[in-house]
Amino acid sequence: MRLNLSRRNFIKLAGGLALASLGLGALGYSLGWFSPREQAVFEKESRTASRADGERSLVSFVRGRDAREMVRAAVEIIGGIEGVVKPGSRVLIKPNVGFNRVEAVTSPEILGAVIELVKEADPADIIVAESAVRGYDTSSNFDRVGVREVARELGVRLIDLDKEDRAVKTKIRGRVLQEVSVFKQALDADVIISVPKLKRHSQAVVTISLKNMMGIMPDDQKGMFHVLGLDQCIADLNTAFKPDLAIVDAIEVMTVSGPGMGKMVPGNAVLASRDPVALDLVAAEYLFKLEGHADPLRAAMNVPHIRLAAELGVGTNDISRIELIRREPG
Amino acid sequence: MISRRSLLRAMLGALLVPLAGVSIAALPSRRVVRPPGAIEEERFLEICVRCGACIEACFRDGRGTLEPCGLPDGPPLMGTPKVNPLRAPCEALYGKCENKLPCIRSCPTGALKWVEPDEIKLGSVKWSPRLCIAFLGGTCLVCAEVCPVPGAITPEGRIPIFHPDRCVGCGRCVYACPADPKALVLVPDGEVRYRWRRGSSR
Repeated sequence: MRLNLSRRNFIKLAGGLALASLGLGALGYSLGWFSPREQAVFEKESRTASRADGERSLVSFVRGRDAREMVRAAVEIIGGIEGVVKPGSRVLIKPNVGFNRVEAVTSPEILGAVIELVKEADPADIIVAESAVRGYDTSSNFDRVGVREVARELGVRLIDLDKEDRAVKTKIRGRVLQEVSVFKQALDADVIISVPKLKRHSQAVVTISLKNMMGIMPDDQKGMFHVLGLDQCIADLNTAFKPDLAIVDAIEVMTVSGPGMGKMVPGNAVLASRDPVALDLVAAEYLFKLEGHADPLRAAMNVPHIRLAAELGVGTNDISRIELIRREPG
Repeated sequence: MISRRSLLRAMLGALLVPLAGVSIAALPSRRVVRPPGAIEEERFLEICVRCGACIEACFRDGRGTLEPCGLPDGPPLMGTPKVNPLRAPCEALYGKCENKLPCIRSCPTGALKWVEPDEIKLGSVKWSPRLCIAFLGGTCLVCAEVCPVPGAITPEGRIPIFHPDRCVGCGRCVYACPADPKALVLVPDGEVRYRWRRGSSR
């Protein structure tokens, strides 16, 4: 068959094609074919903004012996798990399992207690996910520090993000970062719970709930943070991916040096907050106190990434706006 | 019948073949980082049959660190295994491979000899300060962060100090180094190699 392309026919054909593509585009748009990711991020941003300003940030500090009781009490004080996890939501729990040695990771007891607590809020889905420090195999870390066992016992999915290969580029509004590559699981989650271990860090001074969020990114992106400036990048990342709830394992605290090896000091505490900046400030102060620092609060205020995160409105580092509620055994 | 001409040809050929062999062996080759348990280099080149079993074994559970030497490493080395920390660190050292060492177990000739994981020293790392983010004023000590060996990389202020005598050559720091190009290379300096004995592969 040969097309008889007269001037008239050509115009007709072109017009028809244009109309058809327009229709297809409209259909695609209504079905969300284009950039559903960006939508997700804007939701996250608005969620962040609604909580950043306004009332005081509650931080709980619970000392004790039993991990389960401490986690329960710490979350109860700041309003209970129901305040964070709505029934039917998808929850991502992000422990720190960056290394393969027990003292450098979130203790399985604390993680187990958090999972149990989250289960009570009746979410649709709970995943425990991590991408370890570059050069460490996440799955092997899970095995060796006892995280795999806890996840199996409690029947939650444990995800080695490095094996997922589903990182997506996401627009954020940071000072240095305008775009960040994160694993899809973090975008899909309705609620992110950061469960870090309280540790010293050779580059970020401390690693608590803000720094812990680096584990939702693939290795190349983590590397870029060091090239672009680690402290600002951590703050930037948390503008879009800050945890909705953070629970700090301060049972054994890594002091003096870290994050791989340091002087282990018993802290016997669990801290929790919905404001990761306020929480990291309080936890860092505790760490410096354990180190015997002359002015632990000042040292905590001077941690660059905590200060920068506060400047970007991720949370507050203004102690007059932080309400610290302590509970000691007695 | 053999003609005079073909006899001369055959004699010339017989002379050239070993000559070619000798000259290939004499070609310049790099010093590469060998897998755990590798016997002394000279012997290694004789004993290793380039079967690739160790490389395959290293990749059995996902990613591995071993790869065959290529032409740039030198023709005599081609096909023999080397450690490439850019693929992955050697997990035999403080990693998930501990006590298993599939590379050694799979070697059919004894070119890789059984060793205990804590005896292994594959080499050490070489640092190029001019490529190092920390040395250039950035915030980085990733190498010291990931190093599993106490005292092998110690931060002094914001700069890493390397102690090659402590280093076991696992390559974690090389793998993790975020600088581009990397400020660290794994070299066989200080490597521990073993004496070959017949039937000593296990």
